[in-house]
Amino acid sequence: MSAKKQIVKVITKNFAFFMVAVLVFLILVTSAQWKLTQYKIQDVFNQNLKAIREYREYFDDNMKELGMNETEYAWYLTYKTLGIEPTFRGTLEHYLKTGLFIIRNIGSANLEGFNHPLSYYLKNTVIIIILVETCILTAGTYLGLRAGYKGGHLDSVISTMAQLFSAIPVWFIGAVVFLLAWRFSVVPDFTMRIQLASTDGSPGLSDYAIGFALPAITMILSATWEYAFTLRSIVVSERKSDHVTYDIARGLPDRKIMRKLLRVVFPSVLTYATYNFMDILMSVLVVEVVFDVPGLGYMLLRSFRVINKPPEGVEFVYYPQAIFLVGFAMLLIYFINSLLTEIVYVYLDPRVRKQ
Amino acid sequence: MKKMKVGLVILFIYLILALASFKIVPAEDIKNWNYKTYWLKNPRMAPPEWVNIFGKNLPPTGNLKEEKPGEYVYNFHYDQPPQDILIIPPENWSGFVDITVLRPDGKSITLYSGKITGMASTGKSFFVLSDLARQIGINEGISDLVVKGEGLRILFFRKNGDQWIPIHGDYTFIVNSSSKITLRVVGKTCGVLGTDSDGRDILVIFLGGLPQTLLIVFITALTTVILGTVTGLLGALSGKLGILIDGFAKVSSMLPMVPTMILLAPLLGEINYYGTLQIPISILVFALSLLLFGKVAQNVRTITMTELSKEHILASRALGGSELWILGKHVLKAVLPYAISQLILMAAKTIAIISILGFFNVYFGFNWGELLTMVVTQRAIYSGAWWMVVPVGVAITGIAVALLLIKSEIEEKLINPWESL
Repeated sequence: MSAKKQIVKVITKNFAFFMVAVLVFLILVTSAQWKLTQYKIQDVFNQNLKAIREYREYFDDNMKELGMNETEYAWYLTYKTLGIEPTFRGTLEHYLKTGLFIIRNIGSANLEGFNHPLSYYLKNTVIIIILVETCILTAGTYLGLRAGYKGGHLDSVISTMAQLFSAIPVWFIGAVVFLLAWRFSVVPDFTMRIQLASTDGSPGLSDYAIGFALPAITMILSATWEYAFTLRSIVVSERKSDHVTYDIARGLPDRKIMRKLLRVVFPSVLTYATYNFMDILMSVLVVEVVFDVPGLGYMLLRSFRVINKPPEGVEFVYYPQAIFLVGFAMLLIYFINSLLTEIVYVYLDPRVRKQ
Repeated sequence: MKKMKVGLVILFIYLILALASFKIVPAEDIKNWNYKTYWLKNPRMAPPEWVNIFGKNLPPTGNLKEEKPGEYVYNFHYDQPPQDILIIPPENWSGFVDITVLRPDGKSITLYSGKITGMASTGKSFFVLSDLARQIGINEGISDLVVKGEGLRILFFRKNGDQWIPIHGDYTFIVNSSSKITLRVVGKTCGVLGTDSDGRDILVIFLGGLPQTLLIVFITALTTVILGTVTGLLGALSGKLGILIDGFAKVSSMLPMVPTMILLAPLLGEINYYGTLQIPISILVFALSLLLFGKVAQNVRTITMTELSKEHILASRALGGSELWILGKHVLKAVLPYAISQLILMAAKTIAIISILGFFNVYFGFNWGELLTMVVTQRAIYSGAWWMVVPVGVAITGIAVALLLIKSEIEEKLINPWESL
């Protein structure tokens, strides 16, 4: 199969999966909205029934006209107030309305329940991801390649750190980094910088660099070791191959051999990086919550809450549009990442084209 | 075998702690976890008592012992005054209580004199503190002390110009009442793991939540691996089913875990008595398994297909071996070590997911997820409440380390035995 045909196939397949995942997610968002509406219906019904019982004389005429008892009339008033039809069609309409509302307002500047449009939160998350991925890939590649090729002390350090840091939850690393930075004032006025970066103004590059330093350090500490260890393991197995032995025998400098090794192991590393991208994205959202960074994690945290209000009961704060947008953005980032990787694979690995 | 042994020992310790928690943690504390009035007897956001070993000198929390009938002695040798002294009468009792304090400097002061109908505070009552200040001869700054929660400074310190100097020594509380009264000093440290912003003992959720946490972790891991292995095997056997399973697995692994779980909370959960939305554990486990099994299924399918294309399998087929027989006799041997290693990995992954879900307020019972929810909603990290963060973080890391050690040993012995040669 030609590279072009292969790429079209890759795009079609990935796009189909992306669309199905988006649709499933949209159904979940609208279903949650319907479930919360059902709670609201019950609340309004209880209030209506109470009002009817207390002020029966005001409702008597209307009830007689409609031929309803107290309960039936309370239900009638409830559905009328909320503008919902108590039928299957009515439920379906509610689903469609929510879905259409979400899709129609995707690019809206006024995101319900939030002070900024989606682009603002997305921008902060993307900046952190770029910062983190750049550092992880640079440091991890250097460490992994060196440890895999030369072994020794660095190799055992990376193996131990990878085991250790894959066990520590990222929020815990973030909390420790935050508490230490706060205790020893490692980064001057960093919280202020984060606040500055979150204001409406136009923060400069240095504001982002300082403001996002601690979240980035957390992520780098958490994810670099595992990446370096994976690369090291791939390099260790490749190092045993004949072409490397031949290169060493003919006295090629280490730097040149390592560069060659990197080219050979690149497709495998790329697969690993894609495979773990969703985990890194999720970790970034958690780290945003720890450091109060207004990104997608912040949106997610605030998009659904249950507030206990005794004695009346509970109140739900649910912003379907926000939660859908966070999910959609995560799916989109995953889709683009996975698509690019597979396309690059088609060019890098001739065996894929042959398949 | 060393790694496996260490891992198993660590897990065994957690198991013992989980079992011991039923004895150590009072059932009443767990039952009243969300009942805020129950925890009024504790200080809010107080660090653990053992911080005093590391150079602090803060008063701990506890009931005073009755040395003689109606006489309680409190040895005060701290840098700061306690937050409060609570007068706790027996249940359903009301009557007059008169408490006089003999200070180490020889002064006799009336702390409380009046009728009580329930637990009464002295350190937070403006009326009590004003009366104390009047007896001692302090005229100003009482409101400030009350606002700062330092009201009892009036009793335990003396004012020298602008400075407050502690009066260290034994304070004797003489209680005059027709019924037995409990005096409780609400200090500035509390218990083994400190308290949260409602005064709830962190040890209760930490130890009391351990059994449920372990249950969720291992059942989710088991369900995920069983689901992934079975669907992976079936997917490899049948072409159409294989495509369907592959597609389902791909979509489930694409769905973002946390937003999906947040959405499943209102869909699968119910409002409980305390006004929180709670997902039943069995449903939570199944939902998590559905979101996690995709990668296991895909890998099991690949392993199975590779095995099925080997020559000895083709020979078995040619000799009339049924698909089921081949699966049981040959393929399972290759799949099982992978499944066992995934079981351990999934357990480590699930405990991380539980903590992340807690971080995003997905409530699913009395476990460490709830503790993480408290960390976020009470902004524990920003308040410097490290005692709410460090123990659970270390404990989760401990479980994950144990599981990864076991996994590493299994992989060395069963999956890549040549690597250990």
